[in-house]
Amino acid sequence: MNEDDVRTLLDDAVSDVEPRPGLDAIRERTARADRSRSTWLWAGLGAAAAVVVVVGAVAVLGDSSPSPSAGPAAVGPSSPGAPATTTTGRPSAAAGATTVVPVYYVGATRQGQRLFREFHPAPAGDPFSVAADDAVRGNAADPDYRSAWPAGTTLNHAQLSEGVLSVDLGGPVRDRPATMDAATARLALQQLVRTVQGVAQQSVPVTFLVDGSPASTVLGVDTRQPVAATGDDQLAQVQIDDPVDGATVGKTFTVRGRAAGFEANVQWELKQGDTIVKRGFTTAQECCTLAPYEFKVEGVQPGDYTLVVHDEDASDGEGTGPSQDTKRVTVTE
Amino acid sequence: MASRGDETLEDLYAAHFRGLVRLAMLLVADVGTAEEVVQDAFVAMHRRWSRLREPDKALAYLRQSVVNGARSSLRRRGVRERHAALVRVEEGVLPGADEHALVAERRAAVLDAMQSLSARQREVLALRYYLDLSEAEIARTLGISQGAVKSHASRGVAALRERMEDL
Repeated sequence: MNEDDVRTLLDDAVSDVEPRPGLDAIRERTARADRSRSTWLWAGLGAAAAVVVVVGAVAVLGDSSPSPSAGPAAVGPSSPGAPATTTTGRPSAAAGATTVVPVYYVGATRQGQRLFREFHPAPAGDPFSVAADDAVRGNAADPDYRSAWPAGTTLNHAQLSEGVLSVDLGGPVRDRPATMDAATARLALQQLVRTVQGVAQQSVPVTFLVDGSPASTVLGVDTRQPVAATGDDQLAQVQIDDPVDGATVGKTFTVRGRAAGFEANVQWELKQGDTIVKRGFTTAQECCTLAPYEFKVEGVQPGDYTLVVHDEDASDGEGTGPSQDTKRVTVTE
Repeated sequence: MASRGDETLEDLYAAHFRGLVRLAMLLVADVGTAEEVVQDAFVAMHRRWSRLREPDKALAYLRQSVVNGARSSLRRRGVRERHAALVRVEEGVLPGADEHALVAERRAAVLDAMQSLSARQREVLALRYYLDLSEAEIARTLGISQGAVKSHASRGVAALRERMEDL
């Protein structure tokens, strides 16, 4: 079999593939994407999105005694009493094989770029690779979040094996691109460190490989030693875990997340455009460290809203404090 | 009025959608998945339009997204299900004496053989022998060296040959 034979074989193998017209679907998705960028990601997941909401809540509860060295609290496939992906009404075909993983993305805050967390469904068989792949690809549900990795980065494999957490990357990842600053490069690595540590629920440093071999640098960052999670100041100081961006909720719904505000104060507003429909405040469980908070928003009229949670009262009633997270929610009867 | 981005999206769709779905088919061996992967690639390209601008860059980006998306979807689908899908394909085309069935069987066998290769070998073969990209273009698309492209190609062809001769 020579090269031309291979050419003929491959050509022939797919010569009868006539895709259904996809332009309308693409147009619809890009139109929606323009309006509310990435909600479509969740549209196709259906019940899986519900898993995320439920589990997000569990994960936050599990976060009740955070310590800076404990790494990100999150839900792993083997965690005791792990959320039961069975709490969904998902068809049994997929339910047994699905877990939920934390994925860390980069988002802008007034302090600069920080890490934000989302929960995504993943097959139980390879949760590390899927979580790391999502982090690298930047397919966050929240359009404010993105991947810091350069285009063309691929995730070959991520795993926890004999106590060693490793991430194997492909693509142009050894050197830092000219357009990327050093802080962003470090944050990109932290995205993956936090993600796989979160899946493993262990704070062991992470070994970086490129195309299967140990890499001395990744994005110009020294990776001859495994990379540890840097301090919690890399994390956004206010985060909403639940509801997820684009979620549909009832007239009364619960908001959960993590915040590290002054005196543990957490402020929130529910807005339609610039109009504040409801507002309130609560306190996180601890001051001055990233700690869970939870509050209820009650009796909201059906419609589309933006939920804003932030860590300081805005004196003029218009703006928001220095750290915030926002989610778009649709309220139904 | 359609923005320039939309016009180009439509041009690229008209010129490349079918070819990219076929490329994806060689990578994932499932039409529905292949269509999804390519749609995802177009949506992602649209989102990055301001940075891509030129149709050449956009096409390169599409190819790269298709390869990466195919890889991700195989990973998500899991080995068990992937195998099941292949078995189904084979059962669906089992012995029929007519020529049509034989052709279908051969096509399924090629897709099956492609699935038995490593991800890199499969990607290199599809880009080189289906899309006829140069070694340099393949190296850029996959983010590997040209030397690696050469070695994946020769090992991939050898493995494919072996699989096809087994039949």
